Amino acid sequence: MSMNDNMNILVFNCGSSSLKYRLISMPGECELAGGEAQRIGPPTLVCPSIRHRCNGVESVVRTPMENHTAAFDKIMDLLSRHGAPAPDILGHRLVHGGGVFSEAVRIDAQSLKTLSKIQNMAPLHNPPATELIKSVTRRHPGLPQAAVFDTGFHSNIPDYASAYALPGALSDELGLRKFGFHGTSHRYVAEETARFMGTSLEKFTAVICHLGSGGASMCAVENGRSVDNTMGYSPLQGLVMSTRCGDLDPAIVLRFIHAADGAAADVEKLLNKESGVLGMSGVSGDIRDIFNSLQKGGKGKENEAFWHALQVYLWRIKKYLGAYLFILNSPQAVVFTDTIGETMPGVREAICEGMECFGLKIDRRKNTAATDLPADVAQQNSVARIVVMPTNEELAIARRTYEVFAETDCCN
Amino acid sequence: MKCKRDKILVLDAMPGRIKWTLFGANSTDAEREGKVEINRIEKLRDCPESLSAESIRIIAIHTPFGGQSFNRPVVLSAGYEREFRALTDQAPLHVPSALAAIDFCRRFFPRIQRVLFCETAFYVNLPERENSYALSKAAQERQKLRRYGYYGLYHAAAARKAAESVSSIRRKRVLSFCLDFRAELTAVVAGRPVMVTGGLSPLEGLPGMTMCGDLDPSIVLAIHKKKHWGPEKINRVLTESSGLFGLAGEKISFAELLLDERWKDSLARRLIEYRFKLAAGAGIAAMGGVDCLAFSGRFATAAEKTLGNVIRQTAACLLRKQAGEIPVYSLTTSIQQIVAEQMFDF
Repeated sequence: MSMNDNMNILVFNCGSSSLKYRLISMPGECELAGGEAQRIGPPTLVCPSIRHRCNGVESVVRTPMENHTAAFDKIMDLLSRHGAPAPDILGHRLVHGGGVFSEAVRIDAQSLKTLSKIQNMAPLHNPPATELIKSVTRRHPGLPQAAVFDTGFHSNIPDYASAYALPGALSDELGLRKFGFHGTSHRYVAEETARFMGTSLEKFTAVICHLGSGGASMCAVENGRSVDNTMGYSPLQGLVMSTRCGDLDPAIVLRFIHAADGAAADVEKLLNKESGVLGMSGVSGDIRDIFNSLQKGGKGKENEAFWHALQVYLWRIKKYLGAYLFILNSPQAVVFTDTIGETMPGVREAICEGMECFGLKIDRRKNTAATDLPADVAQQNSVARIVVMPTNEELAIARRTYEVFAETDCCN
Repeated sequence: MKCKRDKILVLDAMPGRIKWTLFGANSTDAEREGKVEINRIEKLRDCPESLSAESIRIIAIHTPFGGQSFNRPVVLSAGYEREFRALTDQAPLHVPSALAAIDFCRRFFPRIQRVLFCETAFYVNLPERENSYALSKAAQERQKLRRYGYYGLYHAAAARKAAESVSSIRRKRVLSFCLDFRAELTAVVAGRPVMVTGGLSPLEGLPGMTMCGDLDPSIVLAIHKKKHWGPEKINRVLTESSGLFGLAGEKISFAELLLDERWKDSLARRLIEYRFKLAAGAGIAAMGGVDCLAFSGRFATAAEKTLGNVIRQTAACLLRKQAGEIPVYSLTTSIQQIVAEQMFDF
């Protein structure tokens, strides 16, 4: 197979109870079908379903799916029944490469063995994807698969940025270093923004703000490579997120462990699921709800809590933006992406406010009007462009998967 | 001959011990100094004659933590002492030492005014968006979880003096670095802090000589789960075995790290420089610019010569200024001298 041969790549993005998928024809990058299976696992109040789209037609299929393998089977059946071509290769998103996998990898016996070993690096994220890969390997041994890792793009972060100031022996024993996450998206957005700005990736330096409705992270990109990421050893570090606290004094974690009588799982749940925007607002983890509610006006304790949540959320991003602008020393662009970054001009404007000292000047009119993406919303005399760039993780995974197979087959 | 009662005694209350420094009348030159263990604090009475009640005009008790109650130095009354005592749970390592010093002074220097200086005082009115963590409001209020800084006296003094050197600008923005046993950065606008790298405790922020600085919160949980260490042991490791010591594998000071050729290409040096740059950028963003840099702490001079240059050059380039447009001020006085100077007005 060569780089010009067509491959239909079926990309899977496993959540704990969901399975997003997209069938993409490569190298043309044309979506053939896609969708999402929701409520996989034990029965819930709402019936499990698959939202499917193919040839421009959308449908919803209600069907029980006791695990991701069952969901996979249903999806393959749906694709077949709706006339989509059979996939040539499967591409899987895995959150954590465990410090072992820095690039996308073809699944074989060795890589599968290693994937099993590193499962516990991301116990909330890796296991469903790993189990699905194993299941497909057993049941469809002739179907090639690849794994693409969120940590991959960050694997060359310099040691002074990835190390923690801990005893060396402890760090080595437990693998305590910054891995960084959302790498698949950051890499894709870097590639696309470089293209949009008419420059090569190798000459592209930028701060990328991946602001999702769930997780969020920022990435410092220098000459096309990640040199830092706000997430760390885990996706908990860094920005304020939907339900995650982001940066926190280690002494506070110790206090919580002490108060929970050593029940680490309770503290983990508190910091990962009950903090962030949800924790501060007490009502919603979605910053859009907070922002929109404040815009409607109103007074009272709820609005005070919403205002507080919004200010803490924005302030954390602003400080990291300043930090990364400083270390990159005149990047070409600041890029906003993912749900919040792409759809909330008010958030972009608030973050860029007061950043004129760095030469960053947002054009309010362009920013508000930016619906046809990608868009440059900076003033003409801004030292760096401010770009709103849609992310597409499934396409990014398809690209990496295509490269893996075109490369390995070229070498055979 | 009757002794003049004009001296200033500064007591630094540290966990387990008190450092004392005696200053002459309205002077910041230390006449004498010494240390005494907390459980032998009465030995202060055996110190030289000049430490006697007849010669001392006023006593300063200097302590890291004052919580939200103490936002400036206060002359201790029974009420203030009660308020301070109530902070014991929040700072179980620091408050008891200061209370021991206060009790000692009340017993053996009963007629001498005692003034409490808390490092956190400068940060009590830190804006809410800066002092808050992204935790539920109930948890934060119940456990009084908020951010402070722990070198407030250094930063306040250094920022004030640095700002005086930039007379042309009204609302001066000072990026203040303190390098002592720990490192800390504060962004100060018109004399008030708007951002600080420290946290609820001195553990958060820039790494110190033995303190870890910023960590992914999951790391604390990972150590707890995988090593089966309790909170106290983890705290000891993060406080006493991390930072420069953890990275370098031996105990070194910031001066050695920054000036000794041996450490020039070390991970410790590169990491510290990197973290300082990140903090500087965050501070500049918090202030919307910068007018001058200030250095303080024991290692102020070493920091100014090395990190100061790097940060000034980078800031100038980024903000499209000449390096000379960002003056650098170095405060080389000790914390005891800073406290003594403030006592002239009491």
